Amino acid sequence: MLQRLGFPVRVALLLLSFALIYHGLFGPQFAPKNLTTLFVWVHYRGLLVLGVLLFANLFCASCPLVLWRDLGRRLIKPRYKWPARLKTKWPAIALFILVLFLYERFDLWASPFGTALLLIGFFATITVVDLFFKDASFCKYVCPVGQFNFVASMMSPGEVTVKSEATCRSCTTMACVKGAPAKRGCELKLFPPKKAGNLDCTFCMDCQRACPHDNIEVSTGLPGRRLFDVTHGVPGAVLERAWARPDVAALIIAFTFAGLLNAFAMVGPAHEFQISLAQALNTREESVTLAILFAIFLLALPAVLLGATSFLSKKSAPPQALAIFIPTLIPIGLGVWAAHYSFHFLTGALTFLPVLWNALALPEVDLQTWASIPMGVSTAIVTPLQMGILGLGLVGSLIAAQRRASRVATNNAFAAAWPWHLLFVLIAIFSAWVFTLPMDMRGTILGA
Amino acid sequence: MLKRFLLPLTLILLSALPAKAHEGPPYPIMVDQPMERGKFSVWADPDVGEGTFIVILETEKEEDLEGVGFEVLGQSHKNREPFAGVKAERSPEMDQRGNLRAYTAKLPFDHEGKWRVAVTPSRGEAPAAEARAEVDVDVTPPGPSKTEFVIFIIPFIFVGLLWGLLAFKRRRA
Repeated sequence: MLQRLGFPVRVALLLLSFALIYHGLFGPQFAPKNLTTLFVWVHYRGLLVLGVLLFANLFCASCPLVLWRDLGRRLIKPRYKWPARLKTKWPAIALFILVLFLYERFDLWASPFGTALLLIGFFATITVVDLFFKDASFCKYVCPVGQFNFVASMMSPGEVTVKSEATCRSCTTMACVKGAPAKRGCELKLFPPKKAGNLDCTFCMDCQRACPHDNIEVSTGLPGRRLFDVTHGVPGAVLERAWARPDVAALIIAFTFAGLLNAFAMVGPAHEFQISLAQALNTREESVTLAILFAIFLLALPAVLLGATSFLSKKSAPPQALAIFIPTLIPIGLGVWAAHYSFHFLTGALTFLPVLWNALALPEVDLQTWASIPMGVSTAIVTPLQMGILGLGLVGSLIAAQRRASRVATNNAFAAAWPWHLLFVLIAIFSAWVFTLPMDMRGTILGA
Repeated sequence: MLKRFLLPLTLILLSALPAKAHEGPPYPIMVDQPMERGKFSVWADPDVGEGTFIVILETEKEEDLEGVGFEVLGQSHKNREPFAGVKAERSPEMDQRGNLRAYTAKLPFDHEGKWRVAVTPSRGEAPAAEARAEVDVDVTPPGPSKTEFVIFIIPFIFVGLLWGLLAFKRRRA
């Protein structure tokens, strides 16, 4: 199904992207009346996390940037390989943080023009990267949204897997990764029989198309199963080596703590903190106070919390406790992002309707008709849903920590796991507090 | 494959029941209502106790932004008392690039139910009655009651327990 639907969906999304860029540059500059800010900051973010939670990395699977890149490669063939020294997640982490910073600093949620420029920036970047460098260098090493999706989709029920390991063992072509005539193999260089989990997988299904034995499928299983065990066998070893990489660990930490930062930055205490900082530093430059807030959430807080947790856990766990437990941050991190984005998406789900109606210059609709259409889901439902999603994230991390501890600290797994349990509970409590505060309604109405 | 998604899908779909009445963040109730030398739009957050109305004025020329005011009035369908209104205050922190100005009004709603809301613009001292726009809104209590919260959180508790059971059952297997 993904194979068949991928191309038409990409075409539709590419056209939509162009329409949003146009509306962002030339349409009403009042965010709640502009499709660009509505679709990008309300609908796209919400659908992204819901898609990951319910199925798999659907957004990378349908990304219009890939179609754009493929069209460009008909004109210019890339000649270079991505530099070995940059084959890490560090560039993408830096871009992820930069995009978040720009979002906060220039209030992109309230700026159709700024949001359009961001979209143009994505198109420009993939054009430069993937027309110079071979394979899916942008997806694997650069795209900040892709990195978010890779980490989040470790919790997805869906995963690209092989149907029969015996078939792979007898295969001599390795077409799934090397490609076949007129069919490219995996451009992210993932070898399906040795792949575990969704890290770096864009669900492009190139491997399935290239496989001469029809031996690749999207299978489903328990969400988070790849995190629950220190897995063995070849695929498990590959995944465990990934968790032990400093750049992958940094990506997971950035993913988790950026979720807290993104939610916190929208509420009153964050604004008051920045004002106090500005007064203390005698500055009116928001970049300074924002940079300090970012440093607190993305450097200081992780260093202190993870350092203390790892120290307490190490007493009962092997020396590499941090590497073993870092992946267990993913469920609570995704829980925070999903709770946050689903709130904005569900409460503003249909707010684009009157905006789209006006943008298309359709016949006027009387006031009462618009007022009678519920523009979103009631907060009587969304608030418990938000807390429920956060709670499930907490449960996932608790399970993951306990399971991984029992694999490596067989004498007393709980003694190794409890500091991590405490950390997850603290993150959940903080997030729940933030979610109970009035939030800037970014995208649907101006925040203060 | 579909069977594995039935539970999460059902939970999400049940949660996405359309709101009978809106609660939560402001939502648009009037879009691009014409007035002399401009137009206005209104976002409403009609909670019991105090409802918030944000009026956005847009004009072609910057000078047409001056001297404009808005009155926001409410009348309950239940008791049909005369409209009671407040003057919307300027909210410069919500102003945007271009010729856009924001105003905020807070109307007291002493009970839930259907209310008729009217917004009348004025230039200078004179209200522009011909530009008055009226619409019915549902005023509701803000946020979920304790019972509603418990009812809607129960599926998540169920899913969490099931998830844990399956995760540790796999281990034993």
